[in-house]
Amino acid sequence: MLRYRVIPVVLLDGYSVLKTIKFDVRRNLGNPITVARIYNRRNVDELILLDIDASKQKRQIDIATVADVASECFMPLTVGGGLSSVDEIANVLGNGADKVALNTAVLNNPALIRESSGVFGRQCIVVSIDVKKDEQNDYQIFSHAAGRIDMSLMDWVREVESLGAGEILLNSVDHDGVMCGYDLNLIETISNQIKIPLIVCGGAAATSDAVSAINGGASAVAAASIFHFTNITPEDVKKDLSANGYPTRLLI
Amino acid sequence: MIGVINLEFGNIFSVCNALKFLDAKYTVVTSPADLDSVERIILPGVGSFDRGARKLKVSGLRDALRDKVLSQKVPILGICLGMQLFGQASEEGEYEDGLGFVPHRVKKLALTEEVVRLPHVGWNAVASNGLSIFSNIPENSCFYFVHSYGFRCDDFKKNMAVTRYGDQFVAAFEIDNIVGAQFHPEKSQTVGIKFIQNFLSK
Repeated sequence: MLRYRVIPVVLLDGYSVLKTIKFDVRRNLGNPITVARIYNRRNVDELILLDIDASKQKRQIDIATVADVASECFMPLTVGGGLSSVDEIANVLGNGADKVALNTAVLNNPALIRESSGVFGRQCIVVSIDVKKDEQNDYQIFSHAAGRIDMSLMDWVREVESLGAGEILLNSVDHDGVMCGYDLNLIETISNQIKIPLIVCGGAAATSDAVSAINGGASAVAAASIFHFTNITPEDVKKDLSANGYPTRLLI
Repeated sequence: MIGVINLEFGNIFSVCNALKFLDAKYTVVTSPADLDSVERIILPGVGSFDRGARKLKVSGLRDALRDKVLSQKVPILGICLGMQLFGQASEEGEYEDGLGFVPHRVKKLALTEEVVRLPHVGWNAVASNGLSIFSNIPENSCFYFVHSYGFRCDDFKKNMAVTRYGDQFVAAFEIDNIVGAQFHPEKSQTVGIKFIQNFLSK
């Protein structure tokens, strides 16, 4: 049967790796190629590489960085950062990415999901959705680069699937970098709405957090802080998932 | 010399990266003339069946490949959509024919009570059924899949390795000089590299 996936996320601010807390406070962590090399040696299931400033700065993720990271990766690589057209997506896929993550661009232009999945196949198109609670404690779509967002999170999630996204990457802004566990309520709410794979991110601090997330309906767990700042490795997380009845791909 | 076919939107970077890692010499193929010096061929694939099949036809590669593979028996490895293009046709496509190396249609993976999400994305164990292309790869090793369509076991019946996502389907096949992999060996770490290495020794 299909294994559950544990996916490290590497965030870039152009050229350097960083980690955020609640999408705000930043810590610089160095060279993306070094980080990718270590993850490759650790036999991770996949890698997600995101340039979090690209859209805001009206540019795309640096293509040389994509190519350099991709040449270190003999596992699948998802790349995102300011991608807003079929040509830009083609450029990234042609430089070693296997999938692209689209966020700001599709909030502004949802039709890009249909267009790009039509050209590249839906399995290449991951739509990344950032979520933050408002003053009424309701989940809302969060974006620091898109224009005004008038739609509800639920409507957006369903629309994204119907337009042809292959997977959804769901990020909790409130849990980002705080290392308090995933937002399980958010995961359970969303996972019932869709029939495409759901990757969740934001808050993992212990291997048991991943177990809870999969229990809650996630298909895969993504994380960054736990791997950057603790001794826990992706393999440790996979072992705990397997021990709890969620088969993963383990090193023999 | 290995010919890696570039169908325009294929992720040939990763395949070429794997070949570089294996110190294998390759050339990128976009037209029949590029196949002249080639002793084995890799057809990677990203995108949709119709686009891939149409591109093969329009470039002249469709006829050139049928000659090389069926008449001249040049070894060929099709990856993901590349493997699907070896078929007669696909449920995904509306207009185009595949290369017809195998007389089967590609069908959409079935959702079952157990399996509710498509595409089939991630690592899954492959039962190799003794195919020589899996030599020195531990049985039930996991390879990386990312697709919504595939070949049915009922169609192939033999010469196939299988995996299960709800129902079983063809993970790979090997018939003489023709090898198909539904998974991405270039993205399947150690076992994937070994799979490609086995193909290079065919």
